[in-house]
Amino acid sequence: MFTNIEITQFRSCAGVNISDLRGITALAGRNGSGKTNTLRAIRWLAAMATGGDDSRGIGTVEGHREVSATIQLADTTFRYHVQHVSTQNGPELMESLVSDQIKVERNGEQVILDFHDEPLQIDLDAPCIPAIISLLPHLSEVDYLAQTRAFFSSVHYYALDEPHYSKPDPWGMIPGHRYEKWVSEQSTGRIESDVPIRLLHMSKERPEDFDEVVSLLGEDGLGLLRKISVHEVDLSEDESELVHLVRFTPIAQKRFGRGFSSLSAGTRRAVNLITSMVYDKSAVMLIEHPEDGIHGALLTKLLDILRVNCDPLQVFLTTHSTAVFDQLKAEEVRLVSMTEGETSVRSLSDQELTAASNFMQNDGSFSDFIETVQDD
Amino acid sequence: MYGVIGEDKSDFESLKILIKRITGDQGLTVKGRGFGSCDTMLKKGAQQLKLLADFGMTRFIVCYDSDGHDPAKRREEAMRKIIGPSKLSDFCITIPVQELESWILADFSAVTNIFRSWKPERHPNPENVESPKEFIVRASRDSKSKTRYSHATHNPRVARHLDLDIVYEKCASFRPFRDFVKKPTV
Repeated sequence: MFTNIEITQFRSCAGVNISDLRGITALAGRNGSGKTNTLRAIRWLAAMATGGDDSRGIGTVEGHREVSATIQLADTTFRYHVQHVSTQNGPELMESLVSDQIKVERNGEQVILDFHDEPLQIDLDAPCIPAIISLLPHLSEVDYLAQTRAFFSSVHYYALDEPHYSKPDPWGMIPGHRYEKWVSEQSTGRIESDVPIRLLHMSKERPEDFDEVVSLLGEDGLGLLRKISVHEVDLSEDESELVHLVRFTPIAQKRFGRGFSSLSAGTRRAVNLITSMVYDKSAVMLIEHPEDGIHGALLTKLLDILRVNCDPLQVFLTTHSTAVFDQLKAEEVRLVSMTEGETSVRSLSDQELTAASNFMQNDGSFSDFIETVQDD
Repeated sequence: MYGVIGEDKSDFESLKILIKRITGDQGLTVKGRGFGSCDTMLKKGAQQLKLLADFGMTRFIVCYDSDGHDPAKRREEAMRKIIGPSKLSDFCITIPVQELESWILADFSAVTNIFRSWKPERHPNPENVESPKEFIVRASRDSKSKTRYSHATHNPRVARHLDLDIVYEKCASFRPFRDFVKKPTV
């Protein structure tokens, strides 16, 4: 898990240090204060380590980006740092990964390893950690790098945005060719995070995970869905027009399921969050405003599900919601503010923590406390 | 018709299910709320009970976790701050010794109805467990079940399956609640 994140420069974030991180960290601040930039800085750092989507564009990203983090991985701690600067002479990239066990330092295309005599030459476009793993697979130190890569690969960002549904889909149809294409693109790591396709994939390949989603959303869980049914229909005689049906039966409905887009927006969002949590097996979830469109009582349950899954899961979320704040501990909140174009992020001070405790003991709600602190 | 208040929304939802099971009347009206904290319940509980009375509720239950404190003092505090100001007569103050989850520990095997691969045994002394909520979450982590126990979601679900005779036998704090619900209306 991340124990410390230092954003030297990333969009509006400059000199941001987020320390003493725990299972849940909630970023609270006004619109435009830099909450999303903070999450994106974490996502960028992880993507730079693994070659994920966000790392593309080295050389096209303008300006200066520099982020580092301290990560606790089993019994060891390591620090990973990336600095990318675009200059007139092209991009400059510095990267380092330091732990008790190994030290890796990259300066441009040259990578120096403390466990290998010769420096390696790695293209600027290639992420450093995966490149070392493939170039020196026989070295024992590479196992450790593989663990760090696995950690960064399981950092996922969830805006929970949805595609625009021009009309409800009563059938929940997924053409066979679309599913096959999705499966074939999985290895690239650049697949669309489509909820019905993920559920279809889980029902075929990971039935235990599918059952977990059904259990969490069903009558014995959040009580949102009576059933998620998955069927295959062949519309032709020669199986050339195979269609998958992924249908959701809301709890209040007795018989007929419907397509995902026919569910209410809030239900879709909750289903998306639970499906993502189970499907991605994330080490770290970066979640934008989980509260949007979700009733306070359901939100309380969703947050508790995230909380009990912390360890190994770690959650960073942005929020404006009083219902979310009232579920948090004061130590879990970071206040985000913008001054003269720069984002700052801070914990509550000891004095504020005492004040919060006193306020809540006297019938104040934590959300009211946060609102007061943010008025500073 | 019952009006129920508790510290936590899941307390209210669980008690609602238990009341319906004890009376054997699934159509019984049970209204109420959870406050999110005991301080808030102590401040707003009386007002809430009056509102529930205005909604036509006739019997009232206040659930106030003892959290290891002296149950008698908790009862006195609930009487003074909630029941007294509400001026209601047909009421029961339920004081779980630690938290309501100790009732679940009494018949812990009931969770298998929700989590099929998790087969815990009934706890012999549930009211001696210091933090039953945390105990259940830890047990869930250590179990074979992929889904972890979340009290907000799963307490009311498990309440549907508890063997209430076992809970009655093992949890002294459950007895006044069940006896109150079983007795004829005043």
